[in-house]
Amino acid sequence: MVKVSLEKRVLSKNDRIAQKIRSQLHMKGVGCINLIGSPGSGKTALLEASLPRMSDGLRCAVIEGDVKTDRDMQRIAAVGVDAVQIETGGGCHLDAELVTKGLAKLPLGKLDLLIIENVGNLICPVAYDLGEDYRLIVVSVAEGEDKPLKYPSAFVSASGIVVTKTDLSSYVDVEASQVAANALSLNPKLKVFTTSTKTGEGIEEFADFLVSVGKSARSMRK
Amino acid sequence: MHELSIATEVVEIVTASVADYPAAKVRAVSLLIGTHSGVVPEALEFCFPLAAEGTPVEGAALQIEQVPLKIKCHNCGVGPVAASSIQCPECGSINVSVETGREIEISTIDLDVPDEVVAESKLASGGANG
Repeated sequence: MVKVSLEKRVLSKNDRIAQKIRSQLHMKGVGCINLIGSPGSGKTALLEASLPRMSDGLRCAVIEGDVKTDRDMQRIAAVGVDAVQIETGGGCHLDAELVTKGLAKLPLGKLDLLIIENVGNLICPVAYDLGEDYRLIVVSVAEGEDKPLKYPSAFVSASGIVVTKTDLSSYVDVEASQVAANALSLNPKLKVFTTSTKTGEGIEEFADFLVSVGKSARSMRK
Repeated sequence: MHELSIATEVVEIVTASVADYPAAKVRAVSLLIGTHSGVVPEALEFCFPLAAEGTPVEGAALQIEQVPLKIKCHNCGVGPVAASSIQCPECGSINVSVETGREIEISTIDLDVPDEVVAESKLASGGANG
């Protein structure tokens, strides 16, 4: 019997591919955001509301990840933004290999910003680097103020949090500030956005953030 | 977590590692799984035979060594020290870095290899490409 030392990280293949994506996007001057959140947290609605409000001629595209259907891709296309759909057919998260397939369908040379809307899930997507510059966790007030404490890995791994559906606060007795406070207790560096697609609260600020990510990437184009 | 896809990835890495040695039989795969990796060892043990079926890894035993969480605190300087969460057990700060406890790693594989192959190959020196 021979014992062979491998010392190999199981997710090293994904990380290698993610780094390739990151380098490719940086070279082409495309900023990248990975949106993670539970099913129904409001990820697609957030994009539907904010993408049309992006100013300064920023060119954006979206990669939609879902288990089944291209409904989310259709919703993004309906607001005039290029979108491709990745159907995992059962997989609970996007990985870098799937994102590479989505990128092949997009005109990267003509983009400033790529948004990846991950499969609805607060657990599995966290472990998979997709080559993003920013990782945002989307969580609605309807999910309860304790979700950051119950799913800490997601919030610790992120650069920002978007608290959505604030128009429901009085019905569910949860304030966005409570959700944000719990998230910040785990990760004080989180950028916090508070939004409602019904009232329009915070949508302008979020759209401005998207523009800033795109502009920053564009200025680094080689 | 999605232990089946983790098990599938383990099988793929091990299969690739022994691709140059078709006469080798994989007897065991040893993993390091951090207690804070998100991976549930029992679920991984359940999925591993399913993922290994029909591959050179079929029939191999899975050995899991769990690695406890150790953090280094950037606030009070203590560590590496054992912790129960990503927070300093001394001062309570969350300004910490994780030293161990998040691993999902293949450490070693046990192979039955014909003697002549061992003599000629890199396997004898304890290395394999993966």
